[in-house]
Amino acid sequence: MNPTAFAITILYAVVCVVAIVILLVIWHSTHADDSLSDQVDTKRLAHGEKSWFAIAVAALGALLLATLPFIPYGDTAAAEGQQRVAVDGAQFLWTIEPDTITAGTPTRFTVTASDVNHAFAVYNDDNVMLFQIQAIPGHASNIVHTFDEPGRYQVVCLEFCGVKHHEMLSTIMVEPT
Amino acid sequence: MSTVAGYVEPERVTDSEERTLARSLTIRYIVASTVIFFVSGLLGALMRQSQSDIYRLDDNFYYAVMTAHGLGAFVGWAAFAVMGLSWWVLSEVGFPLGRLGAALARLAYWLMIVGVGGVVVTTLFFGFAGSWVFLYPLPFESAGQWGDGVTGAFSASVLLVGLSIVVWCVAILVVVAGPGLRSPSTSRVNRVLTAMGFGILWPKRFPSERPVPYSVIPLTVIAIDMIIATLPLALLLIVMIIQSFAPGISVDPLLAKNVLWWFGHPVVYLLLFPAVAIYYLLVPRIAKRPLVAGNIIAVGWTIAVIANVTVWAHHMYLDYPNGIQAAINTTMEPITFALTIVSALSLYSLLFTIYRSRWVWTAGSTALFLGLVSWLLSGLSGVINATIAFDNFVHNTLWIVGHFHHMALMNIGIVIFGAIYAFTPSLLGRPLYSDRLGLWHVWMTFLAGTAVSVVWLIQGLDGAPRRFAVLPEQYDATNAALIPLVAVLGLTQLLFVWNMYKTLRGHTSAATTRDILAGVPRPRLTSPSLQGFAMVATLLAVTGLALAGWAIGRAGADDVPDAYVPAVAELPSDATPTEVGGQLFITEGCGACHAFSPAGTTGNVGPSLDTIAPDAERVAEVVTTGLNAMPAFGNRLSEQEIAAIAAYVSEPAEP
Repeated sequence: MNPTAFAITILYAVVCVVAIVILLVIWHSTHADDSLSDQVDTKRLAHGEKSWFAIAVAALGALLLATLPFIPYGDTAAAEGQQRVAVDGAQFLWTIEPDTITAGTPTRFTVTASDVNHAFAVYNDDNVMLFQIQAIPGHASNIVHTFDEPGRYQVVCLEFCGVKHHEMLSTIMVEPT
Repeated sequence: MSTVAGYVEPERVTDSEERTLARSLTIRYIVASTVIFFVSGLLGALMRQSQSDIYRLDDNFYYAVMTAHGLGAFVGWAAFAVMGLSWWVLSEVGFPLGRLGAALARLAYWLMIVGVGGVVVTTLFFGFAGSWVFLYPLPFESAGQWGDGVTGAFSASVLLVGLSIVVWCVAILVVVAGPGLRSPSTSRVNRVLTAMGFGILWPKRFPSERPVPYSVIPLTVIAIDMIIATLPLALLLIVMIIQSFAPGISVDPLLAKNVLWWFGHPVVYLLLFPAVAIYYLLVPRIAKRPLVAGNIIAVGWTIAVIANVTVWAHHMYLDYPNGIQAAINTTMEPITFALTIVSALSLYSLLFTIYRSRWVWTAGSTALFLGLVSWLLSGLSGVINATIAFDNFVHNTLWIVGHFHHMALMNIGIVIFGAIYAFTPSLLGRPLYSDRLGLWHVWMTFLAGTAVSVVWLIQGLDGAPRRFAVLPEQYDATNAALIPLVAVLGLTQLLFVWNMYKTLRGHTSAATTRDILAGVPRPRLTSPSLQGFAMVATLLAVTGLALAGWAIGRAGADDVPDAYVPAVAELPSDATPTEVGGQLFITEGCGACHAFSPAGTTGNVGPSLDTIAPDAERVAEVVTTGLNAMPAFGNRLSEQEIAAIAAYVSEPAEP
């Protein structure tokens, strides 16, 4: 499994369990005795909304700070020692030059499209997605990835590009150093 | 009317002509949107079965169905329905439509009907298959599947839908700033800001005779935002209409993408905010308690009106060709989080209004509660999407499809049904035929619909792409699991049809029986433990169905490891050129565009190689230099490789 997908699975499962417990408590509370419901101080509950506001802001702030280091925009500059690969998407064909690279060395993909929007996604041979980036006509985007394992990698188009979108596939061969 | 808990029912519009007007408008919107719901739902089921390989649709027709389903279900059903229900919500909280409001409401109705009709015709009958986001310039690069004229007609249809939304927004602003507001202010801007809830924060500056009903706030917010959001898209659509007969004109694809999402994000909230208005009206009424809300709710909605139109780029996190777009994307992550706070506050208010209240579990109230459940759970998966580091993986996978079906169908959709059930007595002037039947409908829809969404979330985390007419074989098992779930989801809707049919026919037997039996001791079928048992039993049944589907799909799959690109066997060193050519034909993706029976491919973008049966020389020439839309392979493949392909393709023609 892709490590990001794994992190999402764990995080989403945990917050869902917490949310479901809260929802069950609220659902169950409506079956309580009516006299209990008369004792509820709705003003106090409304006051609690401010605490909830603070909790929500803090939780989202923490998520923001924890994930910002992982945004993909930072490290795509050209640098010494990179392998360079030019990627061009066209209905319904990838042109990847060169399509054979070596493992262990960072590879800088410069991705564009010559007709419509495409997305350049690379999966390993076990169908695990490694990375993806949009391919935009008239604009070039860069993404740097280091392939650790030699082998065959699958290129899949991930932006809907027309009738044969799902057959817009290719491969990259990664050779041992 | 006051109760022990201090709940005061908002004063309705009293004028009977006004009530009749609001009633007929609401019913008209609901009937039309429900018809669109059934058509779009069937289109969804059609795609599901095709992906599970029961009856495989032609590729372009699949994508045309996808386009119609997307626009139909999202705008033609969900948005249209909540737009209509808003008229009744406003009437219930004392806002008369007035002549201008009613005229605009009628205009918005007809624009929507004609627009959605145009979308259905251009997609299903003329093959427009650019998806509902019609990412420019795809509508003009159809690979021979539809013409520019069809793109023009499609753009015009979407433009009408957009105009319908704008007209509805103007109507809402006219009504909320109208006499129902009961504000002494004569400034139009001041009145709109009062309707937005500013009086909660600054009562002197934004006065009104009574506190502004909470339901009015989200309606005002979305009316302002959708005007801002829709106008740039309208401009893009007009350019596309012009381009359809003047091909010289074009737009930068990245700019067009920004314009599309400038509209595409707020339109999500065109569904959510009117649904919140329904929650704000009905939840306190059912709980018999005022909405648990402090002043902070006004702060929340002020954040919403700004943030809603400044988060579009979170749909473009993976577009970063230059520093500017990356900077916009990064800025929009915290703004999106800020927008989440509005949902968090509303959920708090609504759930704690229900907490320990005298809540009665009818079909309508159950739907509202289950809507809140889905709002919370799908909101949390939305936070995942809003986080750039996570979207980096889930973007354009089926996770996204799972998220928005969970939100649109299981929150908005189920609230639409809940509102229809809850409003039936006042809208139709007669009780619902059977509340029990309604409860079954609501619960089954919730369980099957949630299960469908969860399967998509799982497929997405497994890396399954969205918008693939044909998914690779590794997803066969999960696709099969969806079939029974979708069948349950679809068939359950018949309960709703039957219930409404009997209600409209004036059959109230179920309700009458209840009246007759009142006071007669009955087994407590409604006890919490029995309800809990029924819930668990149904959950197990649905899960069982899913597992059965999965097992059947699994059994049908072979043990060969599946992949997007079929792995090719190493050819022996003495392989003939024809054998080498056959392999290259597959690995180079020739079959995506060309039908060729020896290779088993069915592509229809380029000419069928079976029909034109070219000789080897012609194949080598076209492969080397390209022809029309076909790219040149001269610098990708060696001469020997091209010769091998030529030998393979020309073999049937040269026996």
